[in-house]
Amino acid sequence: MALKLIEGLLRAPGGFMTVAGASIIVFFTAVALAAPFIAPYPPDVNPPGVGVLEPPSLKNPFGTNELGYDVFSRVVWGARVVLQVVVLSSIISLLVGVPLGLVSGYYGGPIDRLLSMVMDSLYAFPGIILAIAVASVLGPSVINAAIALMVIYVPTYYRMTRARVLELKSEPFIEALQAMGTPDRLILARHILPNVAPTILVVFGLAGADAILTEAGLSFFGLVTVYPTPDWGLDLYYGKNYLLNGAWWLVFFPGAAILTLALGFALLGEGLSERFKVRGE
Amino acid sequence: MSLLRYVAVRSALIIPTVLVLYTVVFIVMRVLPGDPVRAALGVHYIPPEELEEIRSRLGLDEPLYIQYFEYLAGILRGDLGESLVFEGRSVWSDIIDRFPATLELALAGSLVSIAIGFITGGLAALKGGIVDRLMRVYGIIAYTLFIPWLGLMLQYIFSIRLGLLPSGGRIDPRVGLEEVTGFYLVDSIITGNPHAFVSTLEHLILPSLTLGIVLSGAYTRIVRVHLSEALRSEFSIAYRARGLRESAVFIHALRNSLVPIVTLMGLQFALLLGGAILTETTFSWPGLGSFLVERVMYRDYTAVQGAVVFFAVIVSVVSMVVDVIYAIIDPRIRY
Amino acid sequence: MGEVLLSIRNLKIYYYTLSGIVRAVDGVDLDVYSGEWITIVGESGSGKSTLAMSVLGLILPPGRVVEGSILFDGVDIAKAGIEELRRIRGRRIGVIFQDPGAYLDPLRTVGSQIAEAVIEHRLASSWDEAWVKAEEALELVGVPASRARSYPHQLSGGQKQRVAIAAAIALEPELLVADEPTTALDVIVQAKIMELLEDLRRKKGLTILMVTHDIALASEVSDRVAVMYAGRIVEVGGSRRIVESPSHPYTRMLVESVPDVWVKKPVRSIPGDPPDLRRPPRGCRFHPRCPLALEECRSKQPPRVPMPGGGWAECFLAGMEYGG
Repeated sequence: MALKLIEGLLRAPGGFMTVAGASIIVFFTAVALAAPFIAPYPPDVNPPGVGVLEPPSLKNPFGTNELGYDVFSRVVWGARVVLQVVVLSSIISLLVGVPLGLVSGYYGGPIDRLLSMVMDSLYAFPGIILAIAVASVLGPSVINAAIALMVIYVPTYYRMTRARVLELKSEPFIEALQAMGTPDRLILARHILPNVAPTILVVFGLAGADAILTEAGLSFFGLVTVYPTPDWGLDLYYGKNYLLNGAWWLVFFPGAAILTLALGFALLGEGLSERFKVRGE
Repeated sequence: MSLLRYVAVRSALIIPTVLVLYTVVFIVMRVLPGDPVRAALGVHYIPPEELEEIRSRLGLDEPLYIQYFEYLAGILRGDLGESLVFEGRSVWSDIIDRFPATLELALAGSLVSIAIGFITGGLAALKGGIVDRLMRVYGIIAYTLFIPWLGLMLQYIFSIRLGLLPSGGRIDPRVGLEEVTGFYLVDSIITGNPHAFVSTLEHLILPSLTLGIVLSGAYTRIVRVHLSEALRSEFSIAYRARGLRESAVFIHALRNSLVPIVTLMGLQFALLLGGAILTETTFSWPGLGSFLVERVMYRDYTAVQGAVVFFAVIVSVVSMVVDVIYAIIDPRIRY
Repeated sequence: MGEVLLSIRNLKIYYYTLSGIVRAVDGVDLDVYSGEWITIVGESGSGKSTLAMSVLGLILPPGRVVEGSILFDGVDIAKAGIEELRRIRGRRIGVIFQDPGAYLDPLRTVGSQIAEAVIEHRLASSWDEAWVKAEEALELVGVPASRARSYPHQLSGGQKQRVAIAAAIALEPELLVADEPTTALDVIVQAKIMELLEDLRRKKGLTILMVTHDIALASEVSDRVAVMYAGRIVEVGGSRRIVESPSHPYTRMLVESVPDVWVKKPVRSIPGDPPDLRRPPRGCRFHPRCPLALEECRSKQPPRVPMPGGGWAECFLAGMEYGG
């Protein structure tokens, strides 16, 4: 059953990218959930017999940091924070942006114009700057970081949904439904929403990739967690001070994790956009 | 519509964009719970009279709607208020001090990204096949690189390991440079200072490469798609059928693919500024991005608010300029 | 008839696609005489456009000329180098396309697109001179010279096609290839464009090789008609003879499928679909759709039977009396 699904996905256009991207995301999610079983050490303890700033070895595959914490364990535990922030912010953005886009695009009028103007302005602005401003007022925490990211991605979901609704609205089958007197909420729920769904999936992938990088940026500036909670961006920030000592592993491994997870979301988004012939932005 | 009128109409559209962003920032900074003055001054005990005094000096004791409009009037005068942390420092002049560094980095990074984008995308469009697929993968990976990671890895290889390039800063502090415009490359030329020019260039390479590579992914993709489309388009076939040289056909196809590419440049500018913040922090680049991050750490909210509003103005102006360029390239837009 | 200007011999053009080899043109022989108007008629997918483009050496990958020759004034276009081709394209063989709008660069004025080619072929020594030639060419096709400064999107469909013709004529070619030049236009405009082409043929001594799916149009405007089916020319002849006494069953069915405004007669469509050119039928390619197919049609390539008054038909039954 699952195999059949994967086979079907692979055959569709962009199928390889979709499956590769989804696999990466599933892999990191599994790692995050099973962190206590996968990580050989606690992320914020210097285990006995483990030195500081040790290069990668069999015992510490990603080396150790300046406090003797195992970098591999920190990267494994760090997946939890990133995924929590990104999944949380994606879900909130979707729940806010999609209904607004549906209603705004379907009914039009002055509220649509006002909303569009606000969302377009936010969309045109460098997202990370806005997120930094918001996160700095709210203070570092997973929830606050998710809220900060929401300010960036609500406009993305809103704009893509609205654009798709405008396209659908002019299609004959919607016009026919309206002519038959079908209530608007039925048209929206039964006929427009299912047709908007592929677009939303694509945005989930593409905006997700962006969200991973923005989360890492916020974390890099200390706006998501406080040391010693393991988080990739923050670990990278502290690790950079030891590059001069030649401790490249403190930067390399957390960064490689960011790249891989972001790539997972980007591939999923790309693959799905090819599959559903949706243009990303 | 004449081009001039188009410019005027398009310029007027800057106002709502800036207004919306200012309002959002104002709400975030002032309306959300929390006392910025207390937060900025830290945990020590401060007598209530002193707090009151600071509040009234900064106008924070007035009703919110008055604060909103007073600050707005200030923006029009080029006054972004006073620093909450550094007494008596004007936010506007701090920003103006730092801005040239950011613009220099952004322009260099943009140049690098466009160059890489045209080379990779052009190769993909011209060669097709395996090259095309490789470039497509490059486009996706470049986009998903985390700027500090790429920057630090380049730093580790080229400055720490190989010792070829400096690891941070804008210029070697031992090289004296008289500042005129704040753009070091320009200043070193104006003042006839070749040492400063070389030193600036050396310092610029890694940051602009970092920023440029990450931003190039989008260009690779768009050049690849639109150039190959234009090269295969009917009008290119018509040009060939009239016996034009392939080089001439290429130039006309390029011009046609430029329309979406210029649009992208406008969208990219926002990403460029966002990327500049991370790049500046990675390379200790004394620009507006590191200014913003510094002041976030100090909880200097007036400075943060000023910087965000300033970025909003810059982004809107650039998007206006891009639209005007767009109208110049494509005759279908205006008439 | 004049001398042979263009001589196509045993031409085979295949497209090497992922789903198989498409034999778009598969053994075509055709002579085009100087000063005549010859039209190739066929359904979409018969290979007629590929044949027209091959005359300009404009077969794009995955397509390739695999066999045969296209002789034009002693040069084999099928084997010519890129520089040699470039000197012929536009300058000696002009072309106009089906969708005139798409074949004009949207970002440049029509005058500069014409003048650029004029300069490229050294028909003018300066840009101003080339511009004057462009304006002259526009006037010749009935477009005011002031339109040279217009962009394509400012012109109507008929005007765009006139501009495209002007762009071809400005280079004073001997042969004009017209690939479905009026399919995208309405009937009134179509008639005017055809008049213009006929006018230019007389004034400039042009030879015209047109491609269309419309046999009525073809027989009306051209001297000779060649009927193409599934990558092969099945019948050639004077246009009058072709419509009045078609020799190939396919030609006959094409003629019968034309509705007539004046005479009420049953319009017959041709049953079946054109064959998949990746796996063309053995023997005569038309046999699966042919009501008169014989046993040998299934296995043997029919002979080319000469027709009285010039031309030939590729059919076992050609020249015989058959019912229908």
